[in-house]
Amino acid sequence: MTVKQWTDHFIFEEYKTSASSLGIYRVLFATYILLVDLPQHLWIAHFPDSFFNPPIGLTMFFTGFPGASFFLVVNALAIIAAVCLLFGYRTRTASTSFALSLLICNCWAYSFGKINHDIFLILIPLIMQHAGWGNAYSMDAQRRAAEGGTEEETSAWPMALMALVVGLGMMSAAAPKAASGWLDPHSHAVRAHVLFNDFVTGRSTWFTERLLQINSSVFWKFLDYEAVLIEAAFLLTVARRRAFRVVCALACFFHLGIALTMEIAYVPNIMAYAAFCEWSVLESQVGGLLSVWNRLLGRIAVPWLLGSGATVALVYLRFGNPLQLSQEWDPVGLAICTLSAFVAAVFLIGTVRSWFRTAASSTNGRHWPQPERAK
Amino acid sequence: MRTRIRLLFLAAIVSQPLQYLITAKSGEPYPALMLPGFGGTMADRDGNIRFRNVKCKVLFQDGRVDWISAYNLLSEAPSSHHGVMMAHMFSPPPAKADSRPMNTLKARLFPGRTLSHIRQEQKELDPQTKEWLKRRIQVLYPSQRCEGVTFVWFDDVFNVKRAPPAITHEPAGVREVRFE
Repeated sequence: MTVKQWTDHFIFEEYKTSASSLGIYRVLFATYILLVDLPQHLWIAHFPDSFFNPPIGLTMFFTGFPGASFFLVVNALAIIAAVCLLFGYRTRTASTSFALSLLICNCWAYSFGKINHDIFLILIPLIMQHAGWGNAYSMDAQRRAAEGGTEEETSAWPMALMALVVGLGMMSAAAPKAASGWLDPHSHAVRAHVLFNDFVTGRSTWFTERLLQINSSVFWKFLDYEAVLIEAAFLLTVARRRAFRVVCALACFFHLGIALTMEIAYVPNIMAYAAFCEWSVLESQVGGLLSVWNRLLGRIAVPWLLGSGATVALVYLRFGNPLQLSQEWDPVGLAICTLSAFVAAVFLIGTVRSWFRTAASSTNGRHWPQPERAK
Repeated sequence: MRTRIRLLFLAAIVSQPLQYLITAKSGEPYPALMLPGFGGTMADRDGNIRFRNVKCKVLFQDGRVDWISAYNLLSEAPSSHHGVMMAHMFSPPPAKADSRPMNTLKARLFPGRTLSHIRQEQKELDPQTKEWLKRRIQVLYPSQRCEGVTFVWFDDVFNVKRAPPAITHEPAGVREVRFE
């Protein structure tokens, strides 16, 4: 296989995914966004322009923050786009609108000198719309079917691009660690960061207290190596979908550990890993529920959908999102991390069992070869 | 079409060194394909883990004093922002004020970054920040008259070779803000 063939196989073949799997993923993504993530950054209006400290980027051409009404309008657009995304109405437009709204809000929120690394929440809709995540369990798919059109195929390249983007992103976290002493056998970087989190940011849990009582160097060094290794493994396995999915699953436990000990739930990362989960298995488990969803989509009128989006926006922006709880504790993020670890465990057990079965059958094949048939 | 897609993959890869270059020269850009690096081990030469912390001493007109954390002071912003915001806005003033000109091409093109740098280097707190701080303290202590706030910076040092780890505090500077 030449380099070009190998590259083309990775880009156009390796990450082929079914439309139903992508459709279910879109519904899960939009549900998370609507229930947990929006509205965002309405707090910016509480601070004067003297706090303005922009990074290199779109806001460095300005001298202060926009007014509160600006964030209300952009959030309203994001909420309506997320509702359209949930039901798969004009999925491509909704995906792009949501991503741009979030990007605009983030650019201002990160102009206080601190960047939160949730770039995947913007990249997922931008990339996945090209994969065809609106081709199943969506109003778009129902409309096409009603018009007599054929079901649109999914594309593998956006999934490969998503995998590459996740791999590069995770490598951007691994490289500074590897270069700044995390691999030094005498340092305990994880311990220092847990201490910092406990004493300076005040994010401390029952697990943090128990963890900090451990004085074993071997234990703390293992955590340092494990963190760098798991983050680097994404890019190292990106060319093989099966291996990449195993790394995604292992990383779910890594994130659960961080959420339990440091109260930092990296849900944007988990949402990105979820793109590689084979969600179509749910069709055999909760097929009835998905059929109900499809029937519901067939009955929704466009004005009703847009009206619902506007109503959700109005409620969220007037009264707040009831699931956005106090900043001191993030039970929803922790619940998502726990759920992702459970899904990852099921996947890993299934993978190991399948490996054993394959190994056993190949061993059986070697020891007891089938007799050659007489010609 | 296939060629364009291949170029897109190439662009994703090529953008990475550029991103690292910008980060090294001018700080982390946004948007960028970057995740939290958590670089460094925070340990000094003796293996002690060391990090900077701050507490805010609120002085009232009747002579009483109360202490509040950065978390309470900045609770309107996400907790992820508190450390950086405190360091940028309320760090100890520099030894000498910076006189960065505002009439250079760079300052005119990127006024936000230049202004932000100038504010950080000033000995006196920006009037807008002072006004915000006054309002904020009034919200936190509605029935009391506040005279000023002192931001006390210190280094927490953990000697992890002892069990349990011994903690010491080393002063790292103060910024005093007096309200008129």
